[in-house]
Amino acid sequence: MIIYFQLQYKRLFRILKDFGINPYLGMILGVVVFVLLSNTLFDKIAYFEYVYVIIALIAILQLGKTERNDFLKNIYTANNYLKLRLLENLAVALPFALFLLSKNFYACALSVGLFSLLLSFYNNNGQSNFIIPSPFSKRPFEFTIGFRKYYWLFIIIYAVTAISIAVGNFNLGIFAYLGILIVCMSFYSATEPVFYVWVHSQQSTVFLKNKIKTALLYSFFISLPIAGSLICYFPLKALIIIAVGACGALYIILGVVAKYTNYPNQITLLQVFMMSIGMVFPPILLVLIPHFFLKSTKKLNIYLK
Amino acid sequence: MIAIQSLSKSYGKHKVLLDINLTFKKGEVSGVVGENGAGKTTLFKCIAGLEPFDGNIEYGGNILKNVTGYLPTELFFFSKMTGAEYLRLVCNARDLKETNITGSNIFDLPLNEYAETYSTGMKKKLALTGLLIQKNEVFILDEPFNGVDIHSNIIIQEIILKLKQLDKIVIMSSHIFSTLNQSCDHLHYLKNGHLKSSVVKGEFEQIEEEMRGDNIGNKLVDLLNLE
Repeated sequence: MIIYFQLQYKRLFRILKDFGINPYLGMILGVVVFVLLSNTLFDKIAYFEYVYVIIALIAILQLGKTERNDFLKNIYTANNYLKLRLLENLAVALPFALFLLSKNFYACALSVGLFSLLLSFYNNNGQSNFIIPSPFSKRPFEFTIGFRKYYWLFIIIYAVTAISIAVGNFNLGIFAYLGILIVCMSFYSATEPVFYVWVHSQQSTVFLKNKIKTALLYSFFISLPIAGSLICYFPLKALIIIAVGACGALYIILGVVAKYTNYPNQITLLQVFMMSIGMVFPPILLVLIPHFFLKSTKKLNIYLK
Repeated sequence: MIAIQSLSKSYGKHKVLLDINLTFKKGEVSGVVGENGAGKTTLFKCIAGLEPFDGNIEYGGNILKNVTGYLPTELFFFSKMTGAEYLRLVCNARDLKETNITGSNIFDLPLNEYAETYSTGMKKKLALTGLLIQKNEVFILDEPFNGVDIHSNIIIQEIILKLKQLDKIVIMSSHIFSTLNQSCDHLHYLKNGHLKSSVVKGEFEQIEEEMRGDNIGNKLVDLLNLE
């Protein structure tokens, strides 16, 4: 069983190396970012400890995927398998529980620990055969899949928008609007296998432009109820809403063009850094998007003629 | 016709294919055989335009990759994507606007279910349907019979025959010699990246004979601690 955990450590090491970062530095950075981000969110958002428990549970649930558990069940004895699941769930829960303890949220820390133990018996995550209807089936695949995976997030964001209108909190509404556009952008965060690019009989520029068109069109549809209702209830802030929409559209285009800059590999740390700067200072996107577009077309030219 | 001239492929220092010269004609089915690691899949990927290579591949007419349907051995389907959506994706990829997805379901697949939940055989059938629906001119089938049931095996053989009649170029590999015997007009034997021999129908037994591997009997006895 020790070999299993050594192997996971090696995998993490390799993932960080492939990402273009020194693995030791990456691990230290990961801890620093985790603590800083947690601290910031606890400071800014009231009752964040409850959200934090949910985030911890979502992270733990990732280990309950059916496929990997079937594999583990197959290679380990029943006893060792259970031990392994308990240990790995606790390993994921530990940073969250420790942080909650440091903030004196003892009950929340305890519940994270208890849930992590309970969830080691739940190993059927992602095996549902229930087909979630997707309004984005006409032009697969990013939005079709993204909608099915994160429909619950859209429901939450729509609910937050409704609350913002009900309590007259414009900032909360704008946060929800930008949030939904960033979720749409995230659909383009993972690169697809080469086959799914190669299969297109288009030149790389046409391929990318079509992807951008689909992304913008579907993002517009999904964010329209939020933008529309915000403009209706906060008409004096219409310009801000439109500006945020335009900024979100740039984010989405950035997401699409960045996706293939290092294809068929995932984007590098440097590119993530450039994207982050662009997102914080949107005018930079006017330079960054064409730069990424050119870079992506070069990479795609290998597979598209 | 596809004409491959002096095709070589290396991964770093590791040479996978060396000076391959082959032609594939319209209306003919060609089989490529070889042991695991002989370079079959790499050759298929080079022809399909999925791997860069040294040498030359000529094809009269359209851009080869845009009229090629490639069935890989290991199929990948996105999670949370239905069979129908997969087929729509491959049609969109080739700018085919008016395609009757349901009418194209020759294997009676549950197209409204997620493709990831399909059995191995069903996934293969879905991928194959995708190639057919695209109306390709060239079909590269890497182990098309792997994991499919006997009934589907027969259907796939019928499809290959039909593609031949429709003047398509079919290139395939299989570890089941009987399927190659029935489907292929030519057989090419790859060994360690070299094209060792090429024969026409009626001479396939020569290659089968050549391919009989080393006896692993002693190694097996050691592994299983048998006397």
